Amino acid sequence: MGRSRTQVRSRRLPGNQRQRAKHKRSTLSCIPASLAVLVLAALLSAPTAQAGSRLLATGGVTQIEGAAGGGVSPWAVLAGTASEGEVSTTASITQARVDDYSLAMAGVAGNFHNRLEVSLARQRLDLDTLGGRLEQDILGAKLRLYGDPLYDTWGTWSLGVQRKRMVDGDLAKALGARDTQGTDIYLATSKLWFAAIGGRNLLTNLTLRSTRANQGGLLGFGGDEQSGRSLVVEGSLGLMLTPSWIVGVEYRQKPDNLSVAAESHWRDVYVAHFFNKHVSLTGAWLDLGDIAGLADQQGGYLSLQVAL
Amino acid sequence: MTTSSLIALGASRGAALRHTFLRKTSCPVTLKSFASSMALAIGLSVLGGCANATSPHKVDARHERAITAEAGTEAEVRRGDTTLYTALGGKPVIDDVVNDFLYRIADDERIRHFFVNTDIDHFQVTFATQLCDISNGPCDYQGPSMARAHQHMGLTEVHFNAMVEHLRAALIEQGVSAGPRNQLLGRLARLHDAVMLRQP
Repeated sequence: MGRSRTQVRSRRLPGNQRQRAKHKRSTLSCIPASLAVLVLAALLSAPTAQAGSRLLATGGVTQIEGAAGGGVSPWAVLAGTASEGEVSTTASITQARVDDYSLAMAGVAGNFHNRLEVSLARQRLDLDTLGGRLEQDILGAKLRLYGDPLYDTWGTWSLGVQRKRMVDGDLAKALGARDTQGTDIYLATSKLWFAAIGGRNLLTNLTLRSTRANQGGLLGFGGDEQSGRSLVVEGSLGLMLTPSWIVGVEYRQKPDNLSVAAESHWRDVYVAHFFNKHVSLTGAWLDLGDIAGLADQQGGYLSLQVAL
Repeated sequence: MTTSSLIALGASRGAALRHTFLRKTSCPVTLKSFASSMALAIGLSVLGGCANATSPHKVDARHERAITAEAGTEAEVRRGDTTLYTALGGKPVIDDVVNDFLYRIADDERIRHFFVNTDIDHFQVTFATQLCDISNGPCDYQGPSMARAHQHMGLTEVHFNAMVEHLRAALIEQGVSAGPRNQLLGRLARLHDAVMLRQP
């Protein structure tokens, strides 16, 4: 958490200050890290009354692009547990490691009155085998259009956008990407089915996304095979073993725009634990298929979210 | 199960609960005549049954019928099937759950004030009857519709969520297992639209 925070900060600093910040990183990094541990310890024992009023886990966790959702797909629910007249904020860090790549994500999100979610995330993909690093910033907004996943027959429906901008688009351009920034638009629906399987509640999510992004945007937008938008489907299931433990599967369809870098659909199985309304930890097994010419990328995923 | 036996059982616990609400709220709770208690019980919970003498708005009435029509059909289908009531643990467990639930409300400053003028004994019995009825138990809830019982209380989603959370916690605390617990919560969740129908 400390490292990525420092990096985000240092990027905003001009020239020489940025260099200085980089040199200081090693010594400074332990301060935010220990601070984070203290904050986490406090949140783990915090009274629930300070959180929003929505039920535990109804805000999902933070998906890889910073929106409230599962691991790879945004859900229709908004971040945290804020309801009418309440505000929640979440911060999360995620680390995924597949065969030839490492992906890190740090993000924050605000939920205003359970109507509007605004999120900011940075992704960093390290090309462990090929060498190099790809980064992008994602500014997201999600508007809840209708309903509640627990109380409404038709669940809840939300419309979201994700504005993505690559930090350095040279590699993406070299692979044939048309652009280094783009905007995803999605419509998502989430619904909780009471006592659906073995007496346990089942959360279902379906997301329809319009996107030009290659590998979520880390390999740019549009390509030589297809330049325009694709309509893709994402879905997930989450079985609530208890009110605080969820296990599930996710699927995310992807466009395939680049001729030199075939792209696969993403799949994962996950387990999430909500310690309380303030802290959740998610683990997953990812199957991301082919990424930038390297086949069959599988590996682990870990994500920590804190919410206020 | 007769109403009088429910009242008899509720009385001893009710005394302790009444004390809790008296202690938690600055306004004194006085036990009035049955009729006025019925009227005062408007200030009641999201999920509870309570009475209100005000006649419903004509405009809302049609909407309300539409909302409750579905629930009515399901009730007919379920008639004679007491599986959920039995799985919950029957009357003893339901009474314990309601009791536990009321203590949680008394501790929650977000919703406590709705109960300031409530006859807790009456509410305890009515709500237990409603839970019994909705879980196909041998009870007949004859209180007002959820829309009427909660109209113009100024309830928001926050209050509804809080009540659901407390009821779930009470069900867990009283040892109701996941299956019947979630089934009951699912049936009660369907009352959301009716409860929130006439909020200002």
